[in-house]
Amino acid sequence: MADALQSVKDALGAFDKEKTLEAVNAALEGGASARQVFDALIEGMTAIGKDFEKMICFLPEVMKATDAMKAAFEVLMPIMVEADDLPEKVGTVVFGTVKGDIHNVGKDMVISVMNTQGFDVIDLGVDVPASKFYEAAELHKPDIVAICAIMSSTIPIQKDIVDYFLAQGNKEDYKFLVGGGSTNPAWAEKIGADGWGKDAVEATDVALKLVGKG
Amino acid sequence: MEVGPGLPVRIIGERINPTGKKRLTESLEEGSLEVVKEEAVRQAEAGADFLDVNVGVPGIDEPEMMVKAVEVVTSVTDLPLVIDSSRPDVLKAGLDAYQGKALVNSVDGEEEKSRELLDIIKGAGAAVIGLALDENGIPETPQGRLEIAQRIVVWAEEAGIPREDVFIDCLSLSVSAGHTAGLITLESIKLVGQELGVNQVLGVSNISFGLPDRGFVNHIFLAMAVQNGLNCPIMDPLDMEMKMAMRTAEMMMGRDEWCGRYLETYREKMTAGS
Repeated sequence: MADALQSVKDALGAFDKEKTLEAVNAALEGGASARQVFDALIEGMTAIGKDFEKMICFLPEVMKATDAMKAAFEVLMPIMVEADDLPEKVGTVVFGTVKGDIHNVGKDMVISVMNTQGFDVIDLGVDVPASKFYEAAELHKPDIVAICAIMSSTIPIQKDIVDYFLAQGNKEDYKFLVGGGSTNPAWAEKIGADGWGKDAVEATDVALKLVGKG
Repeated sequence: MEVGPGLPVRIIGERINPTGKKRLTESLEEGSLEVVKEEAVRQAEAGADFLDVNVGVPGIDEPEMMVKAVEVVTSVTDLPLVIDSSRPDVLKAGLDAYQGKALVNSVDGEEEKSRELLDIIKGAGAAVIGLALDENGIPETPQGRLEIAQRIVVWAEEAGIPREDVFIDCLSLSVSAGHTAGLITLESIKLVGQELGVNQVLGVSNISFGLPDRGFVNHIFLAMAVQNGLNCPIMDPLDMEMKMAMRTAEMMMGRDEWCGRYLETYREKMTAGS
């Protein structure tokens, strides 16, 4: 069975959706529990995240692996629900790029890496007004609200969003994570955010700390 | 200087823009224009044809800074300026301060906002860059980007700005996040060229985000964009490899008689390297 789980990791490590699904099904047929296969996938994805940080693999490959992992989750989820053996959720994140800014790649990178660590991420997309961040937070009750802005002209809007929550009296319900472009830790502190990350891996590490898992 | 499709490719120097540039950002925060001045001189010496001027830093008086930047840049070079801001009041301040014929960066497919700006631009006798995006984002098809470009050209002409003063930016997304991003941009450029015959600008470096060896990707993409009709890349004129790629593309398209500009750029590169 160890071999079968290794094959799952290998297939994911080759960023191959078909092979990953084949390996997942083979492992299940060989007697592995859905939860064991799930854990193998998370382990494989964590290794990919590390390779990404070291520039051994690159964004399109991480995205391809994420796609394979999601397809495998669709097979595993119903079985884990049936067996009442669901993995512990690390945390929920509501994530978006601010109004006036249409950059998505950096945000998508962070989301990919967050997924590898077991975060449930609600992606609000780009050009997101403060009110939409707020509504999504009230709906999903996330642990973290993550706000991306890339351009020097749109970075100030991160503050507007934090202030929006402040004005509604709900800022303390969530942790705020900001990043992108020329933002820095001093800026994050100044606007009352709880965390900042220079890249996808660091942002995810900070997110883990914010939910007490780092 | 003449600018037009079929004429030599013109470089819009991108270095006076604080996004992602620590030194320039800090100097602007301190109210100093030394770095702006220095970048203007360097880019002019490196053969830029236009200079983009963007002073968008959080927490400063941006209209006032734009006026000062325009004054400083025009004190060291006669190159035409691209007044660049996301704020209409900053664009207006820049236009008022500038004596020459500016290019304004930018309007887009959002009608009300863009028409208002186009009237101001017309009043200043300036030219304009139109981005192929609107309130729904960046269209995923060349046809969609063309339609926005067409709208912008119509609004500009209705405001009294002639078509030759409208520069369209078909925009490039990152190919690492969507493998057809490059193709869509290239086809958009070609389509806009065929249907509208306007000048076209493009910042190419976004294409390579998330990939290793970005310079290489940028060079090839720039060459392909020029082949398809890009004639005013927004780029770093100090990047010799980029310039060589651009000149090679022009040469291959039969637009560089006796290979003159290619050889001129080659000599520049040799001098810069020595």
